[in-house]
Amino acid sequence: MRAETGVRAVLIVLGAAVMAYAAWLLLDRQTLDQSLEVGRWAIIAVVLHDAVLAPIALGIGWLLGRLGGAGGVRATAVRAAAAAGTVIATLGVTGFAVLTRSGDDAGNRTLLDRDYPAGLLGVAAVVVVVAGLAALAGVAGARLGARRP
Amino acid sequence: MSTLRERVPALPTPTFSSRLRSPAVAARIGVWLGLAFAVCFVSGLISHAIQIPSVQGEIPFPTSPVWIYRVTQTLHVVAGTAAVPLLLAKLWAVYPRLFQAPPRGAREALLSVLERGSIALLVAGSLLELGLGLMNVAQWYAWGFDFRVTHYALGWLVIGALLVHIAVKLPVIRSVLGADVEASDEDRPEAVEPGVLTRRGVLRTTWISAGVAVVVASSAAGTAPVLNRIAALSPRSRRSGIPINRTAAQAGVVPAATSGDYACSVLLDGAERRFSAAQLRALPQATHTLPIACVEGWSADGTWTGVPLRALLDEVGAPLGRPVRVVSLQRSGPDLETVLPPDFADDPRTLLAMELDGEPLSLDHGYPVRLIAPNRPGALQTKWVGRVEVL
Repeated sequence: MRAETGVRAVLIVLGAAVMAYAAWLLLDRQTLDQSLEVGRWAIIAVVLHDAVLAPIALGIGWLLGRLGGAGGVRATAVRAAAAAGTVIATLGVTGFAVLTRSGDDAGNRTLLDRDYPAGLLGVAAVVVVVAGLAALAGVAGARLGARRP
Repeated sequence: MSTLRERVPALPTPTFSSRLRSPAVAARIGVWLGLAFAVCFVSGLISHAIQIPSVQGEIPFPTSPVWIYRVTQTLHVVAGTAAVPLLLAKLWAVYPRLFQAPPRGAREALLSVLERGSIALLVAGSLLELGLGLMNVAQWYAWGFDFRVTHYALGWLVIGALLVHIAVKLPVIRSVLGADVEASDEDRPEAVEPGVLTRRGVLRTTWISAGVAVVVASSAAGTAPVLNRIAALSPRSRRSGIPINRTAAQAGVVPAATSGDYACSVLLDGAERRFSAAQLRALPQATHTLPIACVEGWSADGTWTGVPLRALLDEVGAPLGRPVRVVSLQRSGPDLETVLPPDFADDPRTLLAMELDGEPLSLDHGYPVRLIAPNRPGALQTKWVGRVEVL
């Protein structure tokens, strides 16, 4: 216990020192206006997550919870939808920059050289099919198991 | 006398009854997210050290094997891309804590404020760091601050806040990682309802999401053999050959690079000699297959042909063991010039290349002459070389 307390104290002191160094880097190597703009961007990022993305995820989770039952085919389908939806949604967030800038290569043919909305739709279709097949396999396996004496 | 808390009506707080949003799930995702951040941080420090001129001479970087820089920056982008779904899942698991009322005692309240402050920095820093990284790879600069400075500083901020967070949560982390994922010892009292998925199902979905993001959306996958066919959200591909970061037009270098008067100046101890493209071709030529690897995670092998820099230095009588500055014809930009440490300048694989894959260099790849050296960041492989200075 005493060792853990010591480790925690060291981590807090080290972490605080590293954060102080980060603040110095942020303030010392660019103008104050630039540093303040970084702060504004950080607030926007948090608001986008906490007030937009997270409530949407909360709402969809609530809806899926209402649709799914304790068991059976419907619950399996809802589980598959939740898993597939998570994969597709997180992929969409990961690709937000290319999806927003799709086609804007600024004259560089080797940059942003794909059809990103179509690409996301294609991957989403594959994820839905795989999740659907996995759900079907799960239902079939459960029924086979139930028939066995 | 009533306290302020008793007089002010409490804000309505949502009830999070799902047992999926639990420390057991959050800690398991947190382990992998922490590892991803650690990989990003270390690989980022490596690239930073190589690219800052004042540090280059202080920290030696080997010329062999030639894939070291490529691997570190692939890891940087792969870990950073995987971190996006991991971070989203981690924040989903701990979202109820955002609405948790502060403790009542003054000391406890103060500690809570400090802890929440460090978490606010960790969350804000992580979201912004990953967001800026993704935007940078797509060359989407929608801000007025310096990307390189900010990305570097935020890296330190996130690691510092992460250390504090681990310290604060260490007892809970040890408790939940030492027990089964379904154990409820550390759960919030109201988190009792079963979710749509099991906890193991949430974790499996998170790992799959991270894997899919890396394969489909990372710039590393976009330029990798086989994977490039399914990397539908990668900002880079190999469809137009080896990727480039700045075109000749963007660098404003087209007139100088295509001028019939082109000559490469070589400066040694105050004396200058000029070599036309034809004179450079008349010097001993060599061909090497070397990767060009970008800090943005993409990389590609190319077969480069040109004059070994050492042969050119021999031609002007430059001794071994001197650093060499290579300067572009462009007037400005972060890739205007680079200083090669002596071991890179003298390496026989370091070329002033004039051909790529058997074809004359294209204008966007640095025509008429570009630098290509083993194990160097792409931004330091100076294009449109106009001057070589022996330092």
